[in-house]
Amino acid sequence: MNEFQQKLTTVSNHFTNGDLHLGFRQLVDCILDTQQKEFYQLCIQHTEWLHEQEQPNELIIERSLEIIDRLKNVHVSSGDRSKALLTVNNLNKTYSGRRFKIEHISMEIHPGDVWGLVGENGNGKTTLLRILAQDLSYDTGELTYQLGETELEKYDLRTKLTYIPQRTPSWFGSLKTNLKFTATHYGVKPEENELLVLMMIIRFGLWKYRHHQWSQLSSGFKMRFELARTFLRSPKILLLDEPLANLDVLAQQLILEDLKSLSQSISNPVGIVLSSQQLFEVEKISDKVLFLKNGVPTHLSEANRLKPQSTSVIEFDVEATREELNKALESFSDIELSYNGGLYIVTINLPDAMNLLLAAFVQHTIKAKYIRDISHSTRRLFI
Amino acid sequence: MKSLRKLDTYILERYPIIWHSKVIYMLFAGILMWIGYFLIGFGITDIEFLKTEEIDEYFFESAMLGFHCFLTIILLTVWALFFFKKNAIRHYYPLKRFYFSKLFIVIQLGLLPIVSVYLPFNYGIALKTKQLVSLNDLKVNAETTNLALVFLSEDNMYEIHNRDFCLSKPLKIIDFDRNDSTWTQTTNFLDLDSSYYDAKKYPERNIQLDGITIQILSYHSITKRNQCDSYDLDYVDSFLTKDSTFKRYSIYNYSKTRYSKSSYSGYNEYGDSYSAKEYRKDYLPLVHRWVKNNEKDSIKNAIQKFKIILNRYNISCFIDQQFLVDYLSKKQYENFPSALIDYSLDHDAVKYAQRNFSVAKLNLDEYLYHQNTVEPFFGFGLYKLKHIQENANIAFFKPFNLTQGLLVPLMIVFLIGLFFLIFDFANFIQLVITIPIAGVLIIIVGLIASLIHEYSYRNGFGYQSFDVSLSTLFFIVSTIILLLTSFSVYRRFFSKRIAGILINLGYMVAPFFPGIVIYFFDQQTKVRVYDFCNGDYVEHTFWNDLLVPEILFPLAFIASLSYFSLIKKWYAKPE
Repeated sequence: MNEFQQKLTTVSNHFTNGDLHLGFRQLVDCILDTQQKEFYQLCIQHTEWLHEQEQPNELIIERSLEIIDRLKNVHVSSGDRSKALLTVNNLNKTYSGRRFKIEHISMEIHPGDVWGLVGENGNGKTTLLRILAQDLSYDTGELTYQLGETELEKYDLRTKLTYIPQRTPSWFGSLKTNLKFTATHYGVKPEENELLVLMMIIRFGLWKYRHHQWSQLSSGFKMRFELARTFLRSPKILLLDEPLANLDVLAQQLILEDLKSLSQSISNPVGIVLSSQQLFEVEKISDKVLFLKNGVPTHLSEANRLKPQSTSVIEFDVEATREELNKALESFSDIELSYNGGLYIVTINLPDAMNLLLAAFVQHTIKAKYIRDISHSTRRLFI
Repeated sequence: MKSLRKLDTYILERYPIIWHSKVIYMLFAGILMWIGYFLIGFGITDIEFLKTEEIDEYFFESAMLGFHCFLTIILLTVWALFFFKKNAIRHYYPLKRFYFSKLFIVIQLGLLPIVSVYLPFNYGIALKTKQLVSLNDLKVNAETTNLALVFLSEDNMYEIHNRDFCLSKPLKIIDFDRNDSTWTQTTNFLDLDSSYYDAKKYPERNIQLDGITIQILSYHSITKRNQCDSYDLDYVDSFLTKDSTFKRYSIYNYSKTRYSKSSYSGYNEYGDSYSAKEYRKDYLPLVHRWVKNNEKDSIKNAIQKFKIILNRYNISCFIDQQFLVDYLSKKQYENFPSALIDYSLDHDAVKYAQRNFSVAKLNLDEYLYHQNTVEPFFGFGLYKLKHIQENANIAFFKPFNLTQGLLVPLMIVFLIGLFFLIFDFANFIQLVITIPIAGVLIIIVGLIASLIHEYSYRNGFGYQSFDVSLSTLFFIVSTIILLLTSFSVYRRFFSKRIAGILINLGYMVAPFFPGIVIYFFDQQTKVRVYDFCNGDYVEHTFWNDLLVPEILFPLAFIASLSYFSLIKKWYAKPE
């Protein structure tokens, strides 16, 4: 079973388990992987039909599985993931007239990689993203792009570096027209333009909004539009600055899930770098996380050096007084407990101490409202 | 609406530049405007219009120009709103080769029909004029008028006796050697256009011939001597050919107003297209015969035909043929003095009277100030007829002024196109900063130029030296701006903002650069040779011949197109 067929099996399971929305999005991803007009048309017809359905029903699953069956016979060639798309080596930049600088940045982005860029405000996340997008110059270091067979001219390089800023610009006209304009500029053939644009509209859940104007869309849908526009550009690298800002929790999850899924495209895997304040969400989808503090990357190993691997760091919130909590944690020998006013953070000199901590809470009838093991999270760097 | 949307999608999927520029809609608006202006031109034209207006100038001299400017501004504003809504470069979309050049040309294509409505407007007027006045009318009118006007007063300079003398002996012609510069120094100048010239004061110029007093005017031999005036030279040339016709007719032996029967000539007095020589050939033998043989009926008939033409166009006419013929037959040396306009009268009123009713009337003042209360003794609306004849001539032979109709619109379109395009790529703040910088630069260049001017004159170098210095200054400044712009785009040393300001400056300079270069080379290569006409010591090389709009404009266009290649490179530059 090849990679594509495995993916189809996963999609098929989503449908049989009743996860229709997730299944549908991943089905669209599979269809996009085929790059075949015939399936695009099928998908568009299916979407039209889906939107006519008043509520989820068995027929939806049945029809979706039929499409999956048809897809099983399609050969999808896998994109090359071995070559680094972007190599950053000891990059430095100092803002003239300001004391701020970023330095010693090194990273290597491969197709399918998702890099999370985290750090407090004003620590250089946007600067780094803009440098990677060639929007900002740097002083020293190396920045090597391998986005094509030949070396690209600067402007042509920038056409391939898709950067979505935190504040996306407004646009005019209908959503669909804007996407068509993008597709045309990216050389999509006239006969495929409509199909591809509708596929992106479907993929990012914009079907109902395809004739809407910018002002008629919520922040979440504006971000989805930006993503649709970006993916029409067949990006190799996608750079996103705070894509989750101004989005509700559900929208954040959807966007992250979409990004992860699209980065894992079989035919066109995309390297993604995104910055965010939403640590856990970013960590959830990222393969690598870069923490910037005062413009300098701080790796988790740094934190691990201070607190070795055998130590568990757990963040929690409980309905109990400090005394009750201290009493419950008496059983732990080597422990550090701190309270930042909102959450407790406990460091226990034991590996995987989560279950032990939960057991202690149960034993002392302490009601836990929130608990998370941050032993391997950059969250530790914010403590 | 549905098909419009289909068309829009079709263009969007295939031709992004055309779609982005909205040129199709502009062309559509342009076509509508062309139709509208054609209909207006056609609609406003009637005989009254032709009598009073100059059709090739009407658009520019009437409220039409203001109205059109207003309409154009509204249309361009609406267009700009749509045009600037989409932008490929700001999103770093791939741009095909010569993207900005193509966009620039497409913008101009969209603008051209809107700016050039003068053409359909005048075409409408010309078409209607052709319906109102036929080519045959034009020919007949020309012939009749040319013959009749010999015997009619046209203006205050009317001296009927001077018009028809035939001379049995040749006039003494002052011949001259073109290489003899002394003849140009002659100051014996008699200004016949002067209203206070009174022939009686110059009895020494009179000769008696066939019982008629003829005054030989030295006018011809003096005023036509300036070889620098090509028009006068032509005249002198024909004069000096000593052709037989000249020998037989006085220099004043033809009507001041001449119409060509077959081609555009204009109605200019002493019109150059239809030359005096041709006129003499066509009409004067006949006129001469009539006068010599005292063929009163023929003269009366010619005047009567002329009156019919005037009546046909409802032009006021008070001509007593009998009186004129009698007056003529007396062959007295006598002006038509009472017909002269009194110049003490209000100037505007006289002009108005001349324009609307060429007057030679005893009590002109009464006519001017108590219009229609007194019937004029003699007069006719020659200006109105001239207008009709001229307008018909224009309609048939030269309906468009190509400079105004095409070259000027192309230049306007070029400038508006540049204006539109800069907003498509320039950073607004940088553009706003560029404007005062450009202003300061202009002031500095102006100051330096004034200093050079002052220095040149104080040291007696004259404007030759000033021109050389000025051209060098322009050349250096513009070259520096363009070189700096190129460097700023390619070199990391310059920030993108500085490069942005420079690219805007260069954008403004680039179209003028070829002109500046040519001007520079012209000034550098000119040599000091005495210019007989200007009394100066300059001779230009071929560079000077290039300083004409027909060459400078295409060069400016090419320079701008070449400059556009920098835009993409600048835009890709990191900040």
